[in-house]
Amino acid sequence: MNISKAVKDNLEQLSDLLGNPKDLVTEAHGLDDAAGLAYLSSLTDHQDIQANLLQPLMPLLVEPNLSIDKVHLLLPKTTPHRRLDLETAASDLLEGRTVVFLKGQTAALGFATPGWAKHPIKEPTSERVIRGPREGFTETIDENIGMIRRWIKDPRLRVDPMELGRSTKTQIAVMYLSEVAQPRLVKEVWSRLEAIDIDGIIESGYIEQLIKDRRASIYPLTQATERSDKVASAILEGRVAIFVDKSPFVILVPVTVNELYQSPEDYYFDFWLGSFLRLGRLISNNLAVALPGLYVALVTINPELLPTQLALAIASSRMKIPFPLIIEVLLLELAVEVFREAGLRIPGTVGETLGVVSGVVLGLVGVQSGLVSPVTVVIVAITAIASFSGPNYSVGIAWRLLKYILLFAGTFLGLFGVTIAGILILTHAADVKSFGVSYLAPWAPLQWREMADAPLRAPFWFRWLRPATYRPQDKLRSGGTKKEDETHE
Amino acid sequence: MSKERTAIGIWLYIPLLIIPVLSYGLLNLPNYAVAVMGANGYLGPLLAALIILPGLVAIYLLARRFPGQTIIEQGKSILGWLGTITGIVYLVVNISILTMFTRDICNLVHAYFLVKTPLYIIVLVYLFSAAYVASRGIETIARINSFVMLPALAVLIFLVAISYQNISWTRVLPILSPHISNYFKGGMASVYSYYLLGVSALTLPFLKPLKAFPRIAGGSLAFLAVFYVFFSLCTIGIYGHKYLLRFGWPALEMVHPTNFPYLLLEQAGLLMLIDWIAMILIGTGYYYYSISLGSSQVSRTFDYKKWVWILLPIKFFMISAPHNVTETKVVVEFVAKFGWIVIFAYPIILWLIAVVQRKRGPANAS
Repeated sequence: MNISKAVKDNLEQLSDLLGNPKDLVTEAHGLDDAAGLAYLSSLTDHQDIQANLLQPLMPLLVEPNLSIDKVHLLLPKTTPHRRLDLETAASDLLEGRTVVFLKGQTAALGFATPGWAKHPIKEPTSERVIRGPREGFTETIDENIGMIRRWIKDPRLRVDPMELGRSTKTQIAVMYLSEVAQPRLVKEVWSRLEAIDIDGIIESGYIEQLIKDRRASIYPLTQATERSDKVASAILEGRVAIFVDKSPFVILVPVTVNELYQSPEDYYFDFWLGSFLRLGRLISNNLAVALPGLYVALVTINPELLPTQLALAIASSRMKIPFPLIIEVLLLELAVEVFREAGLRIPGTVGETLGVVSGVVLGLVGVQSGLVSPVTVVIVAITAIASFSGPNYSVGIAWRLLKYILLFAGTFLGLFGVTIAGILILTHAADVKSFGVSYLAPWAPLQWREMADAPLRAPFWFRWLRPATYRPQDKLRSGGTKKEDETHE
Repeated sequence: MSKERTAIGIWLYIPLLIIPVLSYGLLNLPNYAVAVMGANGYLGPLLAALIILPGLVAIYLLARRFPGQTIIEQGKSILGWLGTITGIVYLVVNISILTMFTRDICNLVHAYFLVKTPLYIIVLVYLFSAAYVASRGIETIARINSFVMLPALAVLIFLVAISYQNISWTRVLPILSPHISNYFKGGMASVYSYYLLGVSALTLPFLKPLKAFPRIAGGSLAFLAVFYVFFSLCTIGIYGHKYLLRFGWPALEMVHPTNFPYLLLEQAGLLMLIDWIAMILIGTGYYYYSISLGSSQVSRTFDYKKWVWILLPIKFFMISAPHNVTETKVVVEFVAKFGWIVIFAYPIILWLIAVVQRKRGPANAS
C-alpha cells in the first residue's frame, strides 16, 4: 500500500493494517494535520519521543512545503529509515520505531525509539565462575553485541545481521573476526541459517536444533553460552557466534567435545591450577556418565572384579533390600531427577532448602527402611553431584541420558556390556562433526599441539597459535611470546 | 554401488595400523612361537615383522601403480576375470580369519565375564556392535581408533611394565637357540599377529598422501614388533615356555599374577581385559569394514554399508557352527599357519605380474 499525501489517511490505514491494537498511538500535529506520528506504546520510550522527536519537529511544521529530507536533516534523532509503503512502516512500528508522516509527502520516516522492558546485566546463572567477569547476556541483541564489542575492539569484527521467523521476524547476528575465521565456516553458517523456514524463533535453542549437523544426535553439536567472555575468546579463536534477539544464550560453532568440559576460568588461574580444575572436571563428567553402569555391572554380574572385602561389604549392605540392584538404582535416579526438576521450579531459598531436606531425609529414611542400600545412595549422590560439575547445563543433560544407556548395558552384560556400550557411544561421537570439524578433535585426528590444551590446560607461552582444529586463517595468536623467565634473562 | 569418497590423513591412518593389529595379535601371543622356538619364542614377533615386510612393500607398490584402487580392484585390473576369483578367495579367507578371531573373543568373554550368558547372545551383541562400527565408514573408524589409541596403549604399556616384577630371567634362557631353522618357523608362526597390517591393501587408497605409507607403516611395524617382543618376553619370563602352552589366552595370564591389593580392581588381568575388549571391538569394526568394502567391489552390487549387514548372518552362522573351543583353536592355528599366503603373498604375486605385464592403473584415479 502506497503512502498517501494525507496524513490522517496514512494513520488510519496503518491502524487497520495492524488490526487497531490497543497499544497503537496515532497523533496528528500542526495545522491541517501537517504531520502525523504513529508508535506502539508497549515498545517505545514515550519521553524519548516527546523530547527528541516531537519537540524539535513542532517548530518545523509552520514551514510551508516541509519535505521529508529536511526533517531527516534537522531532527536530532539519527539514521531514520525512509519508508515508501505502509507495510514496511508497519514493520517499523513492530520493531519499536516511531513513524513520522508529513502532509503532501509520499514517504515516511521511521525513528528508533526503543523503550521495552529490559533485564539488567546479571551474572550468568547456569555458568558461574569464582574468578572472571560477572557479565551474562541479556535478552536484547544490541546489548549482547555491545558486550562483545567492549571485549574485542578490532575493526575486523564483523556483525552480519539477518531476520528469521515469518511471524516473529527475530533479529539474528552472526559475529566473527573477518581475517581469522575460516570463510568456508562463515559461509556454511549463513547457508544453514538461510535454509531455516519457520514461523517463529522464540529462543536460540530453536536455531541450535535447526542448524545441527546431525539432527538426531544426542550430543550437543553447537555450544550455547550466557558468558560474554566465553564468546569473546571463541571469536578470537576463529569460531563464529550467532546472536538471537530475545535470547540470553549465544550459539558458538563449531564445537568439539573438548570444549564442553572447559570453563573460562581455567585460563584465569595459573596453568597448574587451571589444569587441575580441568582434569577434575573431566573425571567428574566421566563419573556422571559411567559410575551407575559400572556399579551395577560390578556388583551384579562381575563381583569377582572387586576386592573381596569391598564385595562382601556391598553384599552385606544389600542383604535386606527387596529389589534387584537395577531397580534400586533406577528408583534413586528417578528421585534425583524429580528433585532436580522440582528444585528448578520451586522459588528461591525454599527450593534449595526443600532440595536439601528431601535429599537428606529421603536418603536416610530409604536406607533405614531397607528400601535402598547406603552404598547405592552414595553412588547415585556422587553421580548427581558430578553431573553438575560440567560448565554447561545443556551438556550435563546429554551426559545424563547417556548414563542410562551404560546403566542398562551394565545390567544385562556386566563390564563387557559397559565396555561395548561405551565404545558404541564413542563411535557415534567419532561419526559426528560440528560444521565440518571432528567432534573428537584434537584426539581424533591426533593434533599433538592442541592436545597440550586437552585434557590439561596449556600455559600461555605455549599457546601462541590459534587452535588448528577451527582452521583459522590467521594462525598466530601471540606472536610467539617467549617464556617469562627467558625474557628476563 | 556407491564408492566411499573420503580421505584420511597420516595421523588418522597410523592408529589404524596399530590398534586393530595389536588387538588381534595380543590374543594368542606368544603361544605359536613358543610351541616352535621354546624359550626364544619372544623373538618370533621380531622375525615375523621381517617376514611380512615384503608383503607390505608390495601393497604400497601396488597402490602406487594403481592409484585409488584396493587390492580387489587391482586384482581385477591385473588378472581380469581371474582377479575376480582371486578376490573372492582373498575375501573368503579374511572372513574366515575374522570369524575365527570373533569366535575366540566371544569364548574369552564367555569364560571371563559372562559365564551364565549363552554364547550366542554374546556373539550377537559383539557382531551387531562391530557391524555398527563398520557401517560408519573408514573415517569414523579411523577417528575412534585415534581417540582410543593413547589411553589404550598407556594401559597396556603400564601393565607390561608392572608385570616385569614377576619375571624369572632364567626362564628366557638361552638367549639364542642353536637350531637356526627354528627362527624361521617361529617367525612364520607369529605372522598371524600382523594380519591386520595386511588389511591395508583394502584401505590404502584412502590415505593421503600415499607416499607417507612406507614411513608410517615402517614406524608402526617397528613399534608393534618391539611391543610384542617385550610382551612375549614378559609372558615367557613369568610362566616359562612349557607351562605357557597350557593357557588359551596367555596375554591375559601374563598380568594375572600382578595384584593391586590396595586398589579397587582385584586383578590387573581384568583391567587389561577391559582395555583389550575396547580395542578388539574397534579392530573388528575395521576388519569388518574392510571385508565389506572388498565384498562390494568384488560383487559390484551393493555398497559396503549393505554388505556389512549381509555378512552379519553369514558370520553368525560360521561362528556358531563349531561348538567346541578346541575345534576353533585348531582352525585358528590353521589360519595362523597359512593365512599369510593370502594376506601377504597375494599382493607380492599381483605386483610381480603387474610389473611383468607392465600394467598400471589410470594416474588420476582416486
